[in-house]
Amino acid sequence: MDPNLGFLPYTEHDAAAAFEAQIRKALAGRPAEFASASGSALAWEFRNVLSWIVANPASSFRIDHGRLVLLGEGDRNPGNQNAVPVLEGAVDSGNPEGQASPVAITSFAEVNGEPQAASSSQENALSPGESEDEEPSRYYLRVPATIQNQVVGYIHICCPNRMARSGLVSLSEYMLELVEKEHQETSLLQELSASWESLDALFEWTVDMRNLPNRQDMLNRIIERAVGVRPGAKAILWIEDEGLLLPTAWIGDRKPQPRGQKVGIVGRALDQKNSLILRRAGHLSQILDTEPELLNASSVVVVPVSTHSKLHGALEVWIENEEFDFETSHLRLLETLSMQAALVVENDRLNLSQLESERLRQEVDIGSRIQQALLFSKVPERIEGATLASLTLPSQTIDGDFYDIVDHSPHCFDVVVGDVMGKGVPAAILAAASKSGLFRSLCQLMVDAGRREIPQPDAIVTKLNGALARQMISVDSFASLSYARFDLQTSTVTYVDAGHTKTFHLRVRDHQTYLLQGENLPLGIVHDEVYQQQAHRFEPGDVLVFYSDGITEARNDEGEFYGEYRLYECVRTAADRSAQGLVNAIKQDVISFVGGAVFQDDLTCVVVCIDRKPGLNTITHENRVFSSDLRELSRIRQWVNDLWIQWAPRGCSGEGLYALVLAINELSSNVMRHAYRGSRTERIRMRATCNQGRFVVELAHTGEPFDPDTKSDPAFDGSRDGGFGLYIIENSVDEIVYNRNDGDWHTIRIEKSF
Amino acid sequence: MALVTTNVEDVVVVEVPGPSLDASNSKDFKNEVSPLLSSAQKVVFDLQHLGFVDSSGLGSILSCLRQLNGAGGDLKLCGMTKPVRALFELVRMHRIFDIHETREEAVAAFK
Repeated sequence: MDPNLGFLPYTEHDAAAAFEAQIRKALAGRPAEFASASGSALAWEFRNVLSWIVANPASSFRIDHGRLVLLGEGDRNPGNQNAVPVLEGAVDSGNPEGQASPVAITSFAEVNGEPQAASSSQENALSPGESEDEEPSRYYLRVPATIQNQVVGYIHICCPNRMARSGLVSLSEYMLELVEKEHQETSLLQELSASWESLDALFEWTVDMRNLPNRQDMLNRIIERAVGVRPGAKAILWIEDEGLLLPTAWIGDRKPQPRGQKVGIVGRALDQKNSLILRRAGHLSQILDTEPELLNASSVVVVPVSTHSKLHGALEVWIENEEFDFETSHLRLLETLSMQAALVVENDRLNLSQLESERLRQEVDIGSRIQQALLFSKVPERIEGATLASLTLPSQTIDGDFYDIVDHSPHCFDVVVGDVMGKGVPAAILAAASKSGLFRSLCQLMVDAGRREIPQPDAIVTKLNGALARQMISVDSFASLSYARFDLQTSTVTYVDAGHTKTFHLRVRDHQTYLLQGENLPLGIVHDEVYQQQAHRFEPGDVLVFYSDGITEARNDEGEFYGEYRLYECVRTAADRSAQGLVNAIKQDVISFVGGAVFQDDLTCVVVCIDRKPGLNTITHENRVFSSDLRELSRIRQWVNDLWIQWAPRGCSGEGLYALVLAINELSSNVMRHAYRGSRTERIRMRATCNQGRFVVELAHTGEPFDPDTKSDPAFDGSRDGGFGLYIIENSVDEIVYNRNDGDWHTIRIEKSF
Repeated sequence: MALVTTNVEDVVVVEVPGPSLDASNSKDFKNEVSPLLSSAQKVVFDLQHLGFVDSSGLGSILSCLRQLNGAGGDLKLCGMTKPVRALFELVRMHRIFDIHETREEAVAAFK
């Protein structure tokens, strides 16, 4: 602080203004805490100067001959050794026992170097030697600045004449008021400081959260703030892990040891789920063994660290070696910090589990993409005479299932379904290797055969095994395989079963079922094993199902397996659906059995539906002769039923069939009873034709022809129980033609579209 | 043809034997069941065994209804399979007969 600030002319009228101007000038260029930044009131400036005085009680300023002189501690005026000793009399502003009355001044500094002494025990003391009658040359005033009866500093005033004195005194009183107000404000601010601390802590934490992603850093920051309640305070932040409290952050002498949740004061606070403040005397004496950190503690605060009802740990703060009371404001700060710590811990745990499930999801995602790309296959489009559909339901992890469909020609295709033992990526890799091995074997064999013919399944599988066995043996793995070649021209399936599940074949004509099975070893057991194939016939309309044991071994909550029989039943029930419809039915059935779509093993299934003969664009006939006995009616109905099933396209509704069977039945019944008049030994010829999506039946008899036009509508009111037959026939079919001209044979032709 | 009958309180439930009721056996059925109908007021025909009924079969069932109605009683039907239902609807007999899904419902309908 520069003590010499220059001279200012002083007049009585402009005392205040001059002083103000002087102060302003004096403060311009001063450090920021003394300068008024933007036109605030002079009072603010005064206050700051006074604050400086109050805060630095060993200083004062005085007005002398209009000059403002600021004296700092250790200030020396040339020739004036006593400048500092004057200030010895000042009272320490922080001392509550400060004197209320001014102390004697032993010396007084004079700007022009002449020492003058003044002593007084009252306010507004006059310089010695002054008397009412004598006009002194200057006046010295030493005004104590008292705040709440506490002298916090002095204002020295030295002025040249008596009259200016009163102005300066009132000025100084004004300045004192400002000082008092300042002091009050400071106290209030101090009271509020704890709340500000808390808010500040919260604000800081928000900032920290952005800058400190690391949990430990954040907890360290929290504990540093916690010990800020009191210099020398110590603290431990305990975080719970598997029943123990671990010292996750601490400030103190020694690293604390983990302890149980029920131990000591911390245990008590956690048990009560409440903060605890304890002073040593009477409360702390018994617990030193279990809580060695509190050996010298004079008071302790423990705040539980928790969110909602989940307890994460505790914040323990204590003071050593001094009498200290934790106040509400301290507790408030520590509770704020505990809450922050709880949020850090919880956030961290949530992040971890979120990361974990994110990672898992990614793994499953990658796995299923590997599966789609390498292990499965698209259903080929150019096959004629059969439709195929596949079902792949992945499990939690990728698996060793694979399948492929190879079409050699529109009438010849191979279905390959395999399952490498094991799970996860290793199994999937082997599965992919098996598939590529398959193609390589196929190619090599074709080259060997000079491309004249497609190699037989037994040769392909034997070669594949030879190529894979060494690798598989070396990793202790093997694969089951089912290789089936369909020839639609010979209606034969030639298959090699290498330790795989039984292939299910449903003959739709009579619902006879076959389980296709071989006796070969799985792949990868014996490297020079020769595989055997078998041939089996199928018929139009038949259904064949290839599947992996993921389906039959799918389990429900009771631990029951889905099993082969449920699968076969499901296929039987849905037998007249399309291939995709069958696949959907199987999927639904397994999912509802398991009670959800979460499986241990991959579910893989390929369904082959042989088209019904012959297709809608060709013509087929069948002839049959029945006798005119009414008991033949059921055989006639069965015959029509079977042909319809054979010829009708898949997914055709049953209503058409019922109607047709009813109509044929009525017609035949009429012929037997009326045309042949009940004679049972006559003949009825029937011819069924499938033609361009229509089912045509021609019935021929040699009995009395009857003309339907003569018959009237039946009674629908239940008053008569006959006469329905013709009505039924006409309303069940698309067309009916009565033809009497064919020699002795009269024919009736019925047509119904599928 | 053997008829299986059950008495549920005052209702007589007749299981019509299958697999079909057509021109070959409907007369026999009518003959078998007629005496039963003359001594009962409340009758239920359980048709669960019938996969097929033709106009003759329908006619015989209708004649049973008329016989009962004439004597102040009533006939209800239950357990119809799809083809049989289709026939009844075709000739609008589903409006003449009281048809139920199950035997219990048919019996209860008499109350």
